[in-house]
Amino acid sequence: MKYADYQPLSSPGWLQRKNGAAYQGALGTELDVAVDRIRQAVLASFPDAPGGVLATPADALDHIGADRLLPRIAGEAHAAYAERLRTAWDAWLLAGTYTGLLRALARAGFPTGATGMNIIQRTKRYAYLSGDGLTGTPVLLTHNGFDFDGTPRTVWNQFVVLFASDVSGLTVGSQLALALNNVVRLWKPAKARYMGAVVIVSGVVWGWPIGTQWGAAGNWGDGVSRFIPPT
Amino acid sequence: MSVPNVADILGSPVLNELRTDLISRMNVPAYVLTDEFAGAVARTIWEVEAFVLLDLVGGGGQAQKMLANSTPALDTDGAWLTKIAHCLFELDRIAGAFAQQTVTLACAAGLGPYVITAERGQLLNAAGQSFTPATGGTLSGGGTLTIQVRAEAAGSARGLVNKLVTPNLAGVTVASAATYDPGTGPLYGADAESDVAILARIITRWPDLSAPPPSEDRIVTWAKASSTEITRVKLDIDTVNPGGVIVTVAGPSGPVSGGAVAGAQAYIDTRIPITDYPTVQNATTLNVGVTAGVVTVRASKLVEVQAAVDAPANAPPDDPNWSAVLATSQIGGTVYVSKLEQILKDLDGVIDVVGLALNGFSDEVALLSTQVPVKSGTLTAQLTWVTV
Repeated sequence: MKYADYQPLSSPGWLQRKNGAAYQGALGTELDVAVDRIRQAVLASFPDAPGGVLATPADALDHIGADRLLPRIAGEAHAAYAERLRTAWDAWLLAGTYTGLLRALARAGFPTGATGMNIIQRTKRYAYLSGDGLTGTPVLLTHNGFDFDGTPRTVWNQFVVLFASDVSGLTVGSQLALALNNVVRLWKPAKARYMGAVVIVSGVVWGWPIGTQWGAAGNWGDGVSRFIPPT
Repeated sequence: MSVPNVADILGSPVLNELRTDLISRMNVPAYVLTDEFAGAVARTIWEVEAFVLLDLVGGGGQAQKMLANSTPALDTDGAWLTKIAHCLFELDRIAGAFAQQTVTLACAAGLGPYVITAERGQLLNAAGQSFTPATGGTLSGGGTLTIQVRAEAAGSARGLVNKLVTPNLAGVTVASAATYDPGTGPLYGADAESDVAILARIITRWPDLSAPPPSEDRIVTWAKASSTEITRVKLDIDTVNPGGVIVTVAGPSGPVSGGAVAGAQAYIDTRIPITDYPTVQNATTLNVGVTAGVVTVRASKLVEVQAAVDAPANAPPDDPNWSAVLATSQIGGTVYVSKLEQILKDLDGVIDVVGLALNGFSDEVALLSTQVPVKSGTLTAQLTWVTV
């Protein structure tokens, strides 16, 4: 029973006549509003879009996303974002993996594919993302060892993010660099050490493209790259 | 301003606290309470207000119930539980299924013909559950018509249809009924998952935090999960690639298929942290056979003993036999002669075992790093049997 009905009925008979009932009913209605607000507030914490129709207040999604560490992709529709937040467990299951980090970077707007971002680990393996930040899969490839800072090969828990072509705005100290470092810090394995990002601006640089041999693809000295240190 | 704790926020006032609060708010210069004795108008109104407010914000009140619905740890049920399961735990309540039956209607001679139309009409079973025709047809006088019917509500059906209610057709009876499986749903229908059942799934969605962590290495767990072929896994340091690990896999009968190896590599690669480098490889085999040994056995038990020693792995009885020992030996482990001796001596009828040797070794056979032992020949043929 609604409070609008309950409150007048809880009053003595002389207060249940026309004016008294209206007065008590008005007070009860306010309580009904309070109940509804509480219900809506509780429901607002549940991201849901059954059948693609958003059932959560749109402005609640970004708060839920902040709570689940899954920010909205630029231009992402409310319903799609709600569903992604609802299935956050699936996304975080991949934390620390190539899939998890590459997808998170793609969702943050960094370029995918072989000419986009490549994660290169110190020992043997590197990968780029084929597809988008929601369902893309890593293409795993091998190299014969990468040296990031001159430490012995036994210091194997290192990796870099290499952008095979220039990324506009990704410069030292930029907002994009901050976003890159934040995403990497959030999604990398705790044990792994992020050594920074390399942006290939033009030409050929030492060690990239992998497999390049002396004299095969221009002069190494002509290549231009940019290093974005970790923070 | 101090930050309230949860108890402050969710604290439930009692009636007297609400009365006190209300009267303090009403007792302002613009509206001085002068008639707050029992029976007076103002007194009556704030008493009613306090009483109704108690229903809203008091212990077990509407507000508390509503807030409790934000978590399954509290008193949650029904649609709220469905919502929580769906939105917070990625679990959906299992929907009920509609019971379906095949019903044969019979029409008395001289009546009809009647047209039975799908989705129209009502039939009942003895429990009073209602069904609707899913198919139709024409029922001629003196003839029968078999149709399929579907329960009007999801849930387990408690009996076969025995009565046609509408359309009300003279001379038409239900001749027989049977459960019907269209191949797309349960035969008898099913109730929707109960609150208790879905709450149990929510609670067991993840392992108990108080439980000890798994003792098995996660790569071993992943390799076994990738294929039913893989039952044995061994991890070795990759001496060529720093930080790498060599994952050797085997099944009960030795090496596994190439597909299982590739599948395990892909399964692990999807889950392995960046900077790790696992390489999955197949196990190799070492044939292990008896090269010496004399078993003294009672003559009446010889056939039985020989059958037992060469039984396949895990064949009944389930006592460990030689095949099972080899099938579960660790990759790169050791095969002990004493284990075979123990198995032989445990068999009913065996009196003594002497001079046992495996592959020429009288104590143990050490396997290479990637090897699993495979039974070579039969013990019946390899052992020397002396009957008494």
